[in-house]
Amino acid sequence: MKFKLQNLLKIALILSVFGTTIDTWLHGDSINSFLFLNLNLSDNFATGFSKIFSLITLIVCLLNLYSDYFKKLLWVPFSWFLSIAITTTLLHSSFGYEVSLLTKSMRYLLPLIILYGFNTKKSILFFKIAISTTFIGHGIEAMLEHPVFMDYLFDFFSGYLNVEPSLSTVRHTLFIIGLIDILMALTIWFNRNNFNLTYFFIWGLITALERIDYMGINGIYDFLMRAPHFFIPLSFLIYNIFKDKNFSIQKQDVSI
Amino acid sequence: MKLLKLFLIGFLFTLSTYARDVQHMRIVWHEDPATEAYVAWTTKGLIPTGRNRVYYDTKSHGGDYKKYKYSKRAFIQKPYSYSFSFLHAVKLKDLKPSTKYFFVIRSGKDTTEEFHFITAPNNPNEEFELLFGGDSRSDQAARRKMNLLMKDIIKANPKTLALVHGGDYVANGLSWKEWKEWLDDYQLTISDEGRVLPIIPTRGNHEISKALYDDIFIWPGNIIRPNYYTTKIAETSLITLNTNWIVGGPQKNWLKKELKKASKDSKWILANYHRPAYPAVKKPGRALKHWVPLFEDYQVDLVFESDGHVLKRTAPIYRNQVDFEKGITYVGEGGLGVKQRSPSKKDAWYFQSPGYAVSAHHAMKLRVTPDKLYFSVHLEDLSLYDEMEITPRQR
Repeated sequence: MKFKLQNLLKIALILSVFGTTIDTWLHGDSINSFLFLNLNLSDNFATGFSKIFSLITLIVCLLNLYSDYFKKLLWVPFSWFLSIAITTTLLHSSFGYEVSLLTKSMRYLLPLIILYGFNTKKSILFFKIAISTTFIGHGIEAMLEHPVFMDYLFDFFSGYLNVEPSLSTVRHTLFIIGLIDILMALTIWFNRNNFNLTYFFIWGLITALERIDYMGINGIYDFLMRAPHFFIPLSFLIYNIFKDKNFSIQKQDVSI
Repeated sequence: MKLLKLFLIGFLFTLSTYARDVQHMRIVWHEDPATEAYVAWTTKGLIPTGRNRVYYDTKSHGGDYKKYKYSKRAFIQKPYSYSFSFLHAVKLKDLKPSTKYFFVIRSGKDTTEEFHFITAPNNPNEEFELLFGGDSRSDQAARRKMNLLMKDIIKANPKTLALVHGGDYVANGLSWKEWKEWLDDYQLTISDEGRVLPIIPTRGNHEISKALYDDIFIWPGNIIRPNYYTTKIAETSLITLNTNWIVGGPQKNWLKKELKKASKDSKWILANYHRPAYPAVKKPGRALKHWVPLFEDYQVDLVFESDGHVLKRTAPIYRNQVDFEKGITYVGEGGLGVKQRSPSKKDAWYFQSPGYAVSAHHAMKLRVTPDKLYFSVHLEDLSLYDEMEITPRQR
């Protein structure tokens, strides 16, 4: 099997952009709200701008899958995802309560990881920043008792374990989850090993799948937009495993 | 040293001068508005405990505080969260239902003019009206206009008792500056005769930090059941929920209990919360999964939602289909000042006739009578946009 890990990341980016584009077209996004509410632009312009921005981003990602010739255009998805994170933060204006710049970092840094090539010095730095900030951001939200996470836990306990948990059980569980997330996120700066990469992959996948479990079919694009949360650690995990087993690995664009 | 003493005296004098300004007077209703009400206000400086009182009576005394029959000391005196201004609140208890209460606030040496409000009835045969609306953030000029509209509505309708605000009062719930402006603007709803429109509050997503929200709407130390409650007015149960907290789990269980109770002791059941289950703009909130089946099981009469910045009314919905017999109508989406959007989902199945979704600032009015609920929508020029009658349900 000849498969480039760089392509795995490109697929993750397309899935994430596709999910976010559907979300934007169906329900609007924070860029649209920011242009309309904070910059006083017309609703039609704001909505149109958001939709076109998302479409251009999707086209750029597809072109990039087709050929590396369009590599430089990866700044477009980076800008788009970063704009979503910034406008979400500005719209809620509550620093400390709105940590989208942290939680969405895997999404906006993935294009840069691809741009600088898999497993290069720069992409590893972006990978570490993306993993640590995303998990620290979610860890903070969990420790601050994010109501959506609490709902997921209540559903999980009653749906899968068939027990009705008390509020304090859910609070404590979420606190522990948040703490583990933050501690694990820090480990990436000291040692990138199979253990922490497996944790990031499994936890990223479970929390993305939870969207489908909770919202049914409406949760599919929420799941897709979180594709980088499990694809990025997965690609580095595959690299680690195969590197250890002395498979054929190149420094850039690793193939296994 | 002398200079320091002089400075301190000067500073304290300035502080006490500032302290005289009683601002942001408001009445907040929670669970039993027939017999209870919170009167709250702001001062710029700290005033010693015991010198913050509300003097009240069922007769007017023109503002001479010594003549009022009753007086009550503030039970909350503290700085607002993230602010140097001070909150004072008095809880009036054992009030008579359907009664006009006149009151003045005395803080330090400053006494306000006389205001009044009317308590809710407890007689099921008595008619009353409530105003509904949400999202008064971001556009101050439009918010002021809507507040003046509400003032006109209560002037023309003495039976209009209170405003049920659907949340998102300000853009940044952590900003005292924004709340101060909101509270200043709310004074525009006070009629020329001094009639105050009590607020039944709902928490929105812009009140994500609850500290200031809890200060302003008097939720002291409410940790166990945060910001959801039932307001009972005669045979009407208005269930206000919190979409900014756990929607399933404890809140869902509580809602189920409340609906069970209300289905036995109330002719009319209303629900009110911020994030819509059947939205006109954004994606559906978690209420769709956890609360809507309960609303349908217990046949809630009308549901108020906010957040979308449009005006909407859905067709009656039951089990995700239009059903004119068992269906529940969802109205609202917030138009008390925030810039109005184009409703991107106006062609969704749940907006088929008689449903609609349009872009317009609005306030909604509900007249509760023993036989029917009369729902109406008023635009910012006071014109009537929509009307609907609801008859009692079989439960």
